[in-house]
Amino acid sequence: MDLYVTHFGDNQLWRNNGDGTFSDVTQSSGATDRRWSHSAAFLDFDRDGWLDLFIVNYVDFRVANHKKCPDATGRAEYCGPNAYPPISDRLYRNRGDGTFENVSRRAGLVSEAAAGLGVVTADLDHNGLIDIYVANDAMQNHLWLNQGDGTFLNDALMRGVAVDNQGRAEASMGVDAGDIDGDGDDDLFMTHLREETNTLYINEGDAQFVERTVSAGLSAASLGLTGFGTAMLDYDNDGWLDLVVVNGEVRAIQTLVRAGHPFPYGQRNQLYRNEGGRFTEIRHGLPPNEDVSRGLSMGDLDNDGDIDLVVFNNSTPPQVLLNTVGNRNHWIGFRLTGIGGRDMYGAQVVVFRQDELPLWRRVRADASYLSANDPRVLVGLGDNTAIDAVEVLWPDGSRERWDTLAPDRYHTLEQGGGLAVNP
Amino acid sequence: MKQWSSVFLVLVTVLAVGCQPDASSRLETVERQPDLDKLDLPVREQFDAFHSRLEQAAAQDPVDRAALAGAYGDIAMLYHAYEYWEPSAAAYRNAQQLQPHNPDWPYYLGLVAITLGEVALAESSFKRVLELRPADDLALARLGETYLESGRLEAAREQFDRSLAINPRNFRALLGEGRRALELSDYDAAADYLKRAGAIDASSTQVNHALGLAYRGAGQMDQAREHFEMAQSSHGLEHASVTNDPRFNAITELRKGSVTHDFKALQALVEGRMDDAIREMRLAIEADPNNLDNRRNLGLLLIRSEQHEAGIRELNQILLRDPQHVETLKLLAENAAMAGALDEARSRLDQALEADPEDGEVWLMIGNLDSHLGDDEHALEAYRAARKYSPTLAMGYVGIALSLMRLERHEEALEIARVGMEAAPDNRALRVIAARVMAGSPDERLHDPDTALSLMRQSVRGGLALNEAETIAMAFARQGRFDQAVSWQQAALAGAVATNPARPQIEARLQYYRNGQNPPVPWTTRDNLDLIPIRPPGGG
Repeated sequence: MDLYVTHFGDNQLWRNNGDGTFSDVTQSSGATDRRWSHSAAFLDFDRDGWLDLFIVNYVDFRVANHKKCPDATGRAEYCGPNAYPPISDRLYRNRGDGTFENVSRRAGLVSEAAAGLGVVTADLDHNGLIDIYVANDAMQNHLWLNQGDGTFLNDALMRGVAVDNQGRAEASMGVDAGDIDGDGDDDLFMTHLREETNTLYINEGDAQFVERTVSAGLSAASLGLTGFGTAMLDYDNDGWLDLVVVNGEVRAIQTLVRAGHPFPYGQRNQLYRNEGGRFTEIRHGLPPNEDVSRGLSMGDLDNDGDIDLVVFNNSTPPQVLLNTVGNRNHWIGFRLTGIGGRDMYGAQVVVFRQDELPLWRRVRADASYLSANDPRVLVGLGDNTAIDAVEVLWPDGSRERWDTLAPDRYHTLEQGGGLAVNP
Repeated sequence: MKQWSSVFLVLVTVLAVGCQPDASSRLETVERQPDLDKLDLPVREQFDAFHSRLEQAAAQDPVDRAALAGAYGDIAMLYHAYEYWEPSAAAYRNAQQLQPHNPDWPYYLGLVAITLGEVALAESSFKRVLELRPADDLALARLGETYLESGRLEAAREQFDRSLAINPRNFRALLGEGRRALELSDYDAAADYLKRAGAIDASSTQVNHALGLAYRGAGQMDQAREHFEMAQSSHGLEHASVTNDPRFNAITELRKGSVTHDFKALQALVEGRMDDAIREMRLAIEADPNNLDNRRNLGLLLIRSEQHEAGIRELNQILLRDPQHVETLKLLAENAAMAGALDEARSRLDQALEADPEDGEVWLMIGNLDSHLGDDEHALEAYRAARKYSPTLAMGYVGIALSLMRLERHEEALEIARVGMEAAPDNRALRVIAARVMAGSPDERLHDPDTALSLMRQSVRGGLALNEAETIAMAFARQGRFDQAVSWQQAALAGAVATNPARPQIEARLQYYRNGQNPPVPWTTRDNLDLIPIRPPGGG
């Protein structure tokens, strides 16, 4: 697995040498961006079998144009996104020879600049092409729908995911996509500033979204917190995707100031359990913390069949949180590979079970905020181990089926290794 | 002025002991926040004054409970205004303890609680308001909103309905009902409620966006798009209607704003103290030398105070550091245009467009330049670009409409003026354009002198301008009331100085009215939009 690292300044692409070391191939690959970048995602937008790269950029801040941004009382504060001109995101197409070409303009991305923070890629309109959703800070979010001809069209406003239900462009930070309501398409969840709620957009099919933050019970619980990293994951392997949000203020919290806290921004992190479409915060689900959390990665770190977490904090060390409850239920895990063993980001896995709704998951490493995830797919089965079949929708549009996969273990599914299924 | 130390100042908890032991023993300490010393002086002075008043009220012997409650309530509102939530909540609770029958304190406490996501506290606070004032439609709406945030849709509906039974025009209850219906995908009901809210506040972003969602849900995509666009274009045009809660507005009015040097410079500018403004702006630059916006503002101030060369020098200095500083290029272009150097103005604007092809103001200035040169076709293109890139720029609509008028495309002019009036209902120029088409277009289909007069009546309240008087005259003439038309046109003529380029046109129209005729076109290239005040005929 190779790495792309975003910076305030030159980004870097590190190629895995396969011997425990990495080489900096940024210049030779051409995948550069000197601007202020935040999250990034690998995706195969043109279905040529090579992973392309999408980079989310923030604003045109340079040391030379540094500003002071006092709040209403005159106190020094972080500058908001509107203090500097926003800049557009960048799309690099993988030529397949170790180099990338900047196709941002051709793809239509430079027409809309915004202060981007988070990104997730998924086939949101179910047309077989990977779309891109960008969480922007205090500006309309972008839903770049893949037109299939190398171009993208931002239709976020009409699709209901540009702003919140009241028309406000929120301070969107982290984002994730997943089938929250079990209907076979990917929904969106985003984190926001205190005084704004986190936001859940339910996909009603073909990327027409409705906001269901309130009905899902996610509104009041997030009003007083500033969320950054987030993940949709089935922490208890009951078959429903739960939510984790890591929080940390961007403005000083007075009670902590008064207590003489040197870094008065810490807030609790949150685990929400999905109870059939309505969420309940599990107050003791995560260890108590007073850190200022920003990034969140997930993956089965100890390979025991449940999702663990890594929380990245501002000014304090990261935390590794091992899941101790998930594998009390049954599960099945997959690594999906293509030519040369590369991870098949964007592929979808459907687990068919007896007497139950199928479970849809997708292969990805993106989402959250400034973080990357375990590319394996882990599907919780509850107490039902009876798997009828597993189908994979590969990024090139082909479909395959596996009929005899055992639960409670990981399987590597290689493209071409299953039974072809006609769509 | 009393100087405050940076240590906590614990106030009054025990000062009332002896006279009101029960109440005082329950009061919370309201600590002076340790970082208040870092605030700008006027804000610090505000806090000092409020704390001082609180100390005095607490020091009374015997304690005047109402006065102490008022002092706690005031300081709670001040902390609330500056978003110090925790001390604000503590002070509101104290005010409530001391004055349990005053419904204001639990109301404000409820607002703080909902901001912090403390739903249970918000619910109990608004319920307390309703115990004291059962017919408080605003508190009912707020309680409904609290239920809505916690996903209790049926309980929310009950409160909104009660609120609307008391006041059918309660904006927040109507909006809340609309939001609740949207949650239930009941798009028809949502649209009904939201249209009623829109009738109260047509510029509300919340209402327009929610209406867009309702239309989208009902499959009416064109209407959905129209309302989504209205919602986005009304950002910044809706200050008075953001909350539709006069009690909350009392909080926001307490904010003095940021009083950095650049803010002080702005204040001085508004008050006409140009020397102070320049001095403050120089101090702002000293504090933040890399802030080119402040340097640009200094250039502007120097030019406005007739230190022309110094101003231009300052602006050129900025371009040495950042040749693409769009705000500076705009200012230099404006300055060149004012001096009649139109080629230089255009060159500056072209540079600005190179730096930012999507700057609506630059396009507006290009439109103005083309319009000034009589090139209405190109002006129209430029104004359309201005509107595209800056949909909230009311002058973009004005420019488009005016160009269309001059190109004698009256029906299109009327349409764009109507759209513009929805986005910027206070814009007088758009009213003039719409009214003139209705009163004076050669296209009879567009005639509607009654509406034209009605539009102009909205302007009369703010004092009338020359072109508005002319428009009124035009509408009277269209109604066949030529005596009235003559009076208003004479008033317009009286307001036009001899050098006004539109004066011959005003005189020509007067002659038409005297002859009992309507003028052939409602606008000519000689008409202008300057708001020159006039004295209405016969005292108005």
